[in-house]
Amino acid sequence: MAIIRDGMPPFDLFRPTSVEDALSLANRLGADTWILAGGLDSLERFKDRIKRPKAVIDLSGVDALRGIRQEGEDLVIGPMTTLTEVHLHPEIKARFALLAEAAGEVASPQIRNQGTLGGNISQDTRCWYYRGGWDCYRAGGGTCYAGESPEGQNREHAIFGAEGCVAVSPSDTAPALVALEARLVIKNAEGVREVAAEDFFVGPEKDITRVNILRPGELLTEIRLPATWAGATFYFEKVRDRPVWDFPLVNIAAAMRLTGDRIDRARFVLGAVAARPWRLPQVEAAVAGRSRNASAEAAARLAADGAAPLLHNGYKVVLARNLVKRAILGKKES
Amino acid sequence: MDADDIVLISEYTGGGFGGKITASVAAIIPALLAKKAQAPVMLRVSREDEQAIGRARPSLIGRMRAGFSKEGRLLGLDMFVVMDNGPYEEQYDGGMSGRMASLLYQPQAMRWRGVAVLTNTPTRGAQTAPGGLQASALVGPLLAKAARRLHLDPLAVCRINAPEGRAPVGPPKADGTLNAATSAFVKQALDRGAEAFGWQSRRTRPAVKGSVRHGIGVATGGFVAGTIGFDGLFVITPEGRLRLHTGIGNLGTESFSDVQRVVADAMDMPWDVCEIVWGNTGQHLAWSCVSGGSQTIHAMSRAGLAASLDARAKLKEIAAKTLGGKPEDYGIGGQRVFRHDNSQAGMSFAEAARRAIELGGIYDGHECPADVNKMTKASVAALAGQGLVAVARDAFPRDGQTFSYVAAFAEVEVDTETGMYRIVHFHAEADAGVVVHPRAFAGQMAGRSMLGIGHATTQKWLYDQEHGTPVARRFYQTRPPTMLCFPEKFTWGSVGIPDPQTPVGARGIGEPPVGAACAAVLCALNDALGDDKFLRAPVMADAILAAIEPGTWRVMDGLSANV
Repeated sequence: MAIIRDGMPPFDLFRPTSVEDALSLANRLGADTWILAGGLDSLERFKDRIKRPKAVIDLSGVDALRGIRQEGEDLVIGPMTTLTEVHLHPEIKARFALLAEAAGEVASPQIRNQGTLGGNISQDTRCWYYRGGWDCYRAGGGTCYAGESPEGQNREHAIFGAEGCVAVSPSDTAPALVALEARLVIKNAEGVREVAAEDFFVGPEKDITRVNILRPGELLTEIRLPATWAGATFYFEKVRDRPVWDFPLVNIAAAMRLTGDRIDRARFVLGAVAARPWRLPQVEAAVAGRSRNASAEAAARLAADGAAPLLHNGYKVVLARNLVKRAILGKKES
Repeated sequence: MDADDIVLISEYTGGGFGGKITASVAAIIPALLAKKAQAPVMLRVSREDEQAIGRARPSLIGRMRAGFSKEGRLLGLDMFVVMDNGPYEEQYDGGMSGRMASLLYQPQAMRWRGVAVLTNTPTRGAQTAPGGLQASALVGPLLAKAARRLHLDPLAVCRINAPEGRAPVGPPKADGTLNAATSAFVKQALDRGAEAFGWQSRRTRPAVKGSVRHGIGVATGGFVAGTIGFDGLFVITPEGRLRLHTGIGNLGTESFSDVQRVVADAMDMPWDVCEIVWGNTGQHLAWSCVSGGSQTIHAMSRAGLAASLDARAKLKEIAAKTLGGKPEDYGIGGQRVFRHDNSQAGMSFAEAARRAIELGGIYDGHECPADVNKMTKASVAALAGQGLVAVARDAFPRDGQTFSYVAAFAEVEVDTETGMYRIVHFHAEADAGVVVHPRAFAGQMAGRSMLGIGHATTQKWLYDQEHGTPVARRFYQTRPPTMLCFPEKFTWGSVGIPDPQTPVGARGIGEPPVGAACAAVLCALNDALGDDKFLRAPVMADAILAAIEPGTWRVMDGLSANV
């Protein structure tokens, strides 16, 4: 029997209108249930029949998961808010331009109109072996075709934190949220928990089959931006092959508090170099208390400390260093 | 089956162009199944299927050796190519690359050698300018490199080696003589293009500004641009309308319609009284050229003109038979046939069509020329009695082989810290004879240039060679260019010099922009970063960084890219 891959297998579709209904459904339907946001990660895999959920809970009808509002000191973004809305929102642009810029760099205008912030940070890796249905470690199999095979095609894979799996996080907004010390609110049938964005993402050293801590039956319900970095000096840059509709080869999100030219405090986060957004504490320490010009070169050299490039992705080491230098100096082109 | 019982319906063929000229094995499947099922069968092709049967361009890896005079003239070219043929049937890109190199660069001596390698990769087939693209991508940068070595302007080296007039092409024939192009005005295209692009002023721009390096490139491309010998067919109806029956398919380029402007012009008919019947052989179509490979404007403008001349002759004969005098006493214009010496004496086309039906015979299609295709004959027989039937085979002379050319100019700005680059200005100047439909022509120039730019910049397959399968399957992985990948400034022009070997003067434009655009961008990148930095297209960010950072080792494995 031929494998048919041009149509989705059937599933039961549920379209709740409240978070409570969505949670109740997720709890009742169990582990074979798929939570659908914008659909840009999910539908491709449904069509490829790599994922075959019995039930799909479409969150597009849950108004409570949309929109942007101020709540005390926090700016709260609903995870179903589209990337275009995040990119264009005046409050985000004014206070958290890092996130606005990152959202505006995702894929293409059409995809940003449909894709959501929650979906963008929760999406699975785009490793072509894993997405192509190969039985790799991440898919429950016994090898990593990109990292362990001598002929593995790995130009877009990890240089950091590759324990067993060399897939990378493809998100543009996730590094920005980590840099901004965002906090994510997760609900399930039992209650609510709030985690730092940095702790939301999972590397293969913790769980090789997952990229974040969301469990079946759980929903990401809020993305909270504290005032910690509001109005700071930001830098976001994405290096990619195509000007549009491309995932990052490497991206960087940086937030800096400056006094004059001196960096008081900073956070640097690289994307697409590891299975999770990759913070650079050694760089942050190296620049603290120093001027941008004086610290840039030395800090840049630290950016790739611990990097373990694969056969085809040594260029990412160069990119990591160059992007950190540019972020510190705050200019994309000289 | 009896061929007379077969009706072909192909209204909206869509893109794919040359790949759809020849029926593939997969295309036959629904016909076989329909025979068995005694019911219509539609073939639905998924992305997965497309990988298996969609047919990709054969890739070439080549080694070039060339000798130049101190003026930059190409004295000798030794070209050796290895072609990734894919599985199954033989592909011709390798051989065609030599043929096109011989035309585009006019080497005074040339040796071409090639090897085709059967590979266990997705099926291959002709894509736009098969072999022509690769010739430009391989040899274009070689000319630019020679220019730098000789301290010459790359434009001058392009120009001195450009084909001109009835330029020789390909290997010698059995008698030792060479085939020749019908015409070539590539030097004029280079001159006009350089002016439009501002080549000289761009050459003087600073090469380096911070981390950004600036580079410009110029290259030529060319390919076959037309065939001959097809049929034109239309009916002037008793209502005075002009109904064109054409077998040209619609690939989305609208050439099935555009080319009929030639008939409207020749008949002095307003476009809004012309009706085009197409896409269904059950509607009695003329034998037409294949819809792809830049055949249409050349082949069918000739055929359309042939039918128009037939119609004009018949109109004059009908007028002479009806109103007296000799056919040469009459002229045609304003939807009438009238006496030269008294324009009031004449007939409308509607009246002439009704008279044609009365006269019968050759006038209303009851008799058909012997030299037209049997498919056209069948159509004429079906249309007989509906009006004045104009039908003729293109028997216009042609001495030589028809090619079109493009001179492309590109300016890039390369960020050496990220490997990303922008094409800030791109200009394509065509030598494709008379431009029949400027907007459609512009669409071809832009679309096919983008195809070439995609081959230079991003479009690529990747294979896992241990397991023998492609890993980059989706468009976000193979990265064809999108509308938003357009150069920041894109301009085009055409020298517009009629080809002397075809009566309308028009040649096809679909093929040559691809190679010219690809090579111009590669030359611009070399100009920015230095010669021999890249030995493979597309040139992506990792290749740029590897070229600049000596410690960044980049594996150059075997046959894995499309070009």
